Amino acid sequence: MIAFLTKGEKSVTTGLNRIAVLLFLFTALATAAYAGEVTVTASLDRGRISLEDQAILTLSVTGADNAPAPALPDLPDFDVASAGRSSRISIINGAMSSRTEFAFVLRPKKAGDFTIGPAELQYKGKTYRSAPLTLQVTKSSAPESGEKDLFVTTGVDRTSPYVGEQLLFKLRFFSRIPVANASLEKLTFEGFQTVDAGKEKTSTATVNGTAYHVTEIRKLLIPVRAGALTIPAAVLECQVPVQGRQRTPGRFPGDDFFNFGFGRTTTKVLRSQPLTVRVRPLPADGRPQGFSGAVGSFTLSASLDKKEVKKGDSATLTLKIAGKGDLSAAARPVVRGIEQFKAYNDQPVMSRKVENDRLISEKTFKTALVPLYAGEQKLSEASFCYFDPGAGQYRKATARAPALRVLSGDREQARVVEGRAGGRAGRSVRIMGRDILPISTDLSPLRDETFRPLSPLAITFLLAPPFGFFGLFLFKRMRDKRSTDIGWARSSKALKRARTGLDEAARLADAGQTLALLSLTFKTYIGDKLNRAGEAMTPDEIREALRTRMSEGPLPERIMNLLRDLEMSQFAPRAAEADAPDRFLREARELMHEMEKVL
Amino acid sequence: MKKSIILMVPLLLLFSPASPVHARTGADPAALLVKANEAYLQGDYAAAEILYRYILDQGVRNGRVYYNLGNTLFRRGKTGEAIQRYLQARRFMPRNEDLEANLGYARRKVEDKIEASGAGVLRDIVFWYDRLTLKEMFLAFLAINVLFWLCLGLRLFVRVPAVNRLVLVFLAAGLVMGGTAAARLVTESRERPAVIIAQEAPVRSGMDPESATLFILHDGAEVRAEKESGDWILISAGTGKKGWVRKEQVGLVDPGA
Repeated sequence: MIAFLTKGEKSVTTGLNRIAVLLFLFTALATAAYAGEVTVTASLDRGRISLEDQAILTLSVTGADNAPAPALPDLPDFDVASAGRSSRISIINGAMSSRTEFAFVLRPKKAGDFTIGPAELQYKGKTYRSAPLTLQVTKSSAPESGEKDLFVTTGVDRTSPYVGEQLLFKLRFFSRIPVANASLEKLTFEGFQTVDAGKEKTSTATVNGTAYHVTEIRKLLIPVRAGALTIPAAVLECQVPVQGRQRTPGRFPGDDFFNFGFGRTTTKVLRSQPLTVRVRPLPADGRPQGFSGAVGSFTLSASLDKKEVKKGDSATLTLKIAGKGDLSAAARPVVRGIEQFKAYNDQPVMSRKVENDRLISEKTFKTALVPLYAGEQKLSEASFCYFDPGAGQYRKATARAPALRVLSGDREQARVVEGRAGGRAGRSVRIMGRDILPISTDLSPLRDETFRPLSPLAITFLLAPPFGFFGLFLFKRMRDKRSTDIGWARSSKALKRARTGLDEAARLADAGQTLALLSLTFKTYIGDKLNRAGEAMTPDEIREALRTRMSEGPLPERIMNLLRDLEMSQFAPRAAEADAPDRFLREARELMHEMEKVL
Repeated sequence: MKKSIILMVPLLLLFSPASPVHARTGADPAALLVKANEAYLQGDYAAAEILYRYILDQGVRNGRVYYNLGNTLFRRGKTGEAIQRYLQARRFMPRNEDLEANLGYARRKVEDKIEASGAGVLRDIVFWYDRLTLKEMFLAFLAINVLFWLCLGLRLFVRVPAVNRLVLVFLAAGLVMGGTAAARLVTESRERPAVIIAQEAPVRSGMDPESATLFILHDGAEVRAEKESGDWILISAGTGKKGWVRKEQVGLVDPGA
């Protein structure tokens, strides 16, 4: 057990020592290596390529730890794409070296001899440059006899179309060797509207006695502006098998080391020639009014969904433009005679399809027509103007809709120009034209008809009825009280009755009779006001009754004094003064007036 | 009898012709109207337009004058202004068939078709909304008001079911007619009908000529004016289409008739 432990401890100590030694050596060697000189070198995988090929530019940096990518020289004649980075450290005879490689794919744009300038590396404040390189680019890897293995062509079926005229663009990829991973860069057609003309087609063709497999892509182009429009070169990239041992395989993509079932491959980049299309503007001469920009060859048809309709009901007019060309800009056809109807237009519906490499469009305009007049209504003619590029002139497509028989409605009357339709029953009025009806020459007085809701009269009529009602209500209430409350009724009529009595007393010639009637009237008045039999009441009873109904003051005393004076005058007439009746009458009136206020 | 005569006097005053306009202005609009009509009938539309406008400038608001001016403007090719005047005339004579025919004819000349917004069913039910002037509605309301209170007063003295029913009928009629008049007054003051009177009027997102153009309206397009601010008017054209238009490109239809 002890021996085992001793052996184990020894073993562990030995392992740790070895690691420490290795770390020391590695650090020492690395320090030695990185202390070496930094270099930048550039190399091409080949010095001569064709336009269809691509070259690999490799920039190697040695002696620099974590070196950044060197700056590439200006390469306007090439398309440049990064192809990756790799690093490796090597120890040879105890000396360690590091190397970082940056790869770039160069695709030539044109043929010629090119010098690739030095690449520059900025590292720890110093600039390191690679040596310049030369690269020869030939037009084709194949002989000029036409025996190319691969090539791409583009073309259009007409080179000087009008604006809006469709033309067919074809891209054809010819190959007589197997290819893999073919990809086409996105085609750009600036100044054209494009429509796909179907799926790609494959066929075989013979060029200069050589049979090719041909893949064809077609598009319909519609120029949207006049002038020289350029369609850039189409660029197609594919991989083809390497024939024979041409060079040493590299380590980067595109560097011929892919296996797709038929051995090693190389990448080919094929370019077509750019195309120039000279687009002619539409002629200004003869351009009809209402021309909306439709170019092609079209027909127009018109139909109605009903032959007969009641006035006020609607019928649908369908106008259909169809033919070769684009109808996006086509406006609604002009329909003469539509003024006889109230027209409600629907949104037009357009459909497009490609047949025999030509764009076929159809645009349908629907309009709901509500006839305004009874009788046989004819829509004279529908017309649509377009430009025929084949003939180089403007044309007009016309169509006639069937007549619509409009049955009389119940509510409206037919109208004719500057007057109303007349005529005997059974004969429809022939509408000759449309116009506004005449002005009003009415000779009735010219009034200002402004609406003034807050005029005094309007406010009076607004408020007077409720006030009147309130008055009636009060009147009704008073009348009801009179009929149910006898005391109130007597009291309210007391003054009127008393005045009658006083007036009668004043008219009597005999003073005694006057005073007697005055006394009776005054007592009766007091009785009415107190709802008692006044003429039968004694002065004490009157005093007591007044005391309960009146507050203390001179009025009750004056009433009692008048009653006493009247009693005395009646029973001792000789003692009465000559003017006593008048004085008593005045006093009675005054007292009654005062009593009305309190009783 | 005496009471009924006293009641009739203000009624007659209310329904009687208004005082002669020329007494107020010093001119005789009736004579001017005759001259304007003569100019129109002789085809001198420019002179007719000046005279009709002058009558309106005197403060006369009359459906016939608006209608005749609308005809004159239409003859002069000013479709938008003609439609504006026809709409104004319709405020005063909503049941005039000639006016409706001419308005319809002018509308067919308009390039923009703007869908009517809302209230269609409601207007079918309240059929008099467009068939009566605001003044007629108010007068009808006043008449119903008088009848309602009369019946209510009668009910104090005559307790029969028929009178009760009449009270309810007049109450309902008064509420409906008064409500309709009030609704129209409020609607017209809030969203005034307006017509584009320029050949082309860009409708912008803001009150600035540099603002984005939302859509373009053309001569005669009927819109609603929602708000005025400076030289600009916020208009709505159909459902959901709103924007600012320069004031001089819009003709407003005055409310109230």
